[in-house]
Amino acid sequence: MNRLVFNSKNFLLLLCLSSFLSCNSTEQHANIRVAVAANFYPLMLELKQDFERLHAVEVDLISGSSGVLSSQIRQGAPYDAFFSADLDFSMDLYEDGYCKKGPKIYAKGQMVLCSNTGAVDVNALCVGGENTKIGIANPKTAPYGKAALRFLQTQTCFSELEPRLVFANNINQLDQYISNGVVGFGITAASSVEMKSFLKDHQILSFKEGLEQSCVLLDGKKSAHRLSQQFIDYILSEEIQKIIVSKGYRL
Amino acid sequence: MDWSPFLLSFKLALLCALVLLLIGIPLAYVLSFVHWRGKRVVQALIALPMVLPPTVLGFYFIVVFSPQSSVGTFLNSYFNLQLVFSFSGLLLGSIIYSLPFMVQPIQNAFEQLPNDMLQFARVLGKPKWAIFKKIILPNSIKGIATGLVLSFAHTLGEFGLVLMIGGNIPDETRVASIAIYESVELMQMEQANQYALILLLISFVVLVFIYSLGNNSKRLVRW
Repeated sequence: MNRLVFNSKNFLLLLCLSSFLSCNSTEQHANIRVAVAANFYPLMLELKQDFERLHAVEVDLISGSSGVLSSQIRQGAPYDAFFSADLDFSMDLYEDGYCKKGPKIYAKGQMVLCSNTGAVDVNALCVGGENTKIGIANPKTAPYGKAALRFLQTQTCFSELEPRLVFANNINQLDQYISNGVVGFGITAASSVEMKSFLKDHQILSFKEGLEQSCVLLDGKKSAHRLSQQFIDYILSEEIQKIIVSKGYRL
Repeated sequence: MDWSPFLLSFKLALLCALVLLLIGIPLAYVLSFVHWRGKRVVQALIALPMVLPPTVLGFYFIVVFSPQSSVGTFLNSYFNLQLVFSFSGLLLGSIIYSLPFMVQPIQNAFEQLPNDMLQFARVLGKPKWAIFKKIILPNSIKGIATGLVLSFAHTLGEFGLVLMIGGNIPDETRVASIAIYESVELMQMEQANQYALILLLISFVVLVFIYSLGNNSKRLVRW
């Protein structure tokens, strides 16, 4: 066995194999990297397909809460465009010089209250009992979580609600919590209800308040600027905006 | 099924194991056969990733290598190298993170070699290099194989560190464990199931391999 491993030919073979592995993965066709807020991710996966066909480009999506994505951008993550769930995160990036042009609104997000307990109105929140958890996205990193917390704070029984709060990393994780029944209530994105059939039966309240979801072209890789700008224009185009509105967003 | 996360995981684990083999053997040699001050400190440093939360390692990695830091700026401007949110950064992180899994089995193997054997060879006038190549290495083959397989498997199973320093970039840092996490988040249970099953099988096979290496039937006690 020792001969087998320490034979220099075998070691060379291993090296060849590894160098083969290191070059096969990315064939040389254009690709852009788009960081997208979790609530918009399921829809973006569908929207990007047409663009990819039209422009012969691969759009790699990176999903996460807007706060996490924006701090990744600050730490040097190689993203070409950023679709935030609010205006603040992209505006901050613009003001701090991570992009040349200001943010553009691509959708207005709406929130919904979902329940797994068969509750029919918002008052059930307060009488749900200690063991019924209420799920929201992390208010520090997810704009939807921040807005959800603001709503809960307006409830008279907030002091009783507070210990029952469960924080998800982002909207998609929250949707998973709701559908699993880990939380009895959850305040998630209206688009989630549209995109994910399993949430449909659970909706009990949709909010008036909206989130101005905005996108920016990032400074990053210069060679990707043109395509990334085209992608942003494509999302802002009338045709796509119609689809976005039909999926739980307002204009 | 999208195989790219697995390809990426295998590429990462294989490269990491190979680099660690090159670092691990000399390191284990120095720790086993050479006496020097501060050896215990270095030993503790190498073992650190075994007890350290991956987030601690990830935090320092980001602090040291972010483009705003001086090290990050230096690497970027002189070598055009960016280590956060890139494959090369993932590789470096994995090498640090899996280092004890390579060094310790080899070091154990070196230290269990009978002292007489090495001294005989020395008395017979063999130079140190020949002793290392002809006696130490061949007799430590099990330890080296264990280190190779363990560090490969450990890199394959990495999660927290990748999440922190890699992000989730397709074909760059979206490795299998991250793909599972994302599939579950998106309720794509079937895909998560496939990924998870494959990782489970690999881990199992790896352990069976390691245990079969250690099985020495001569020492089997029968009643």
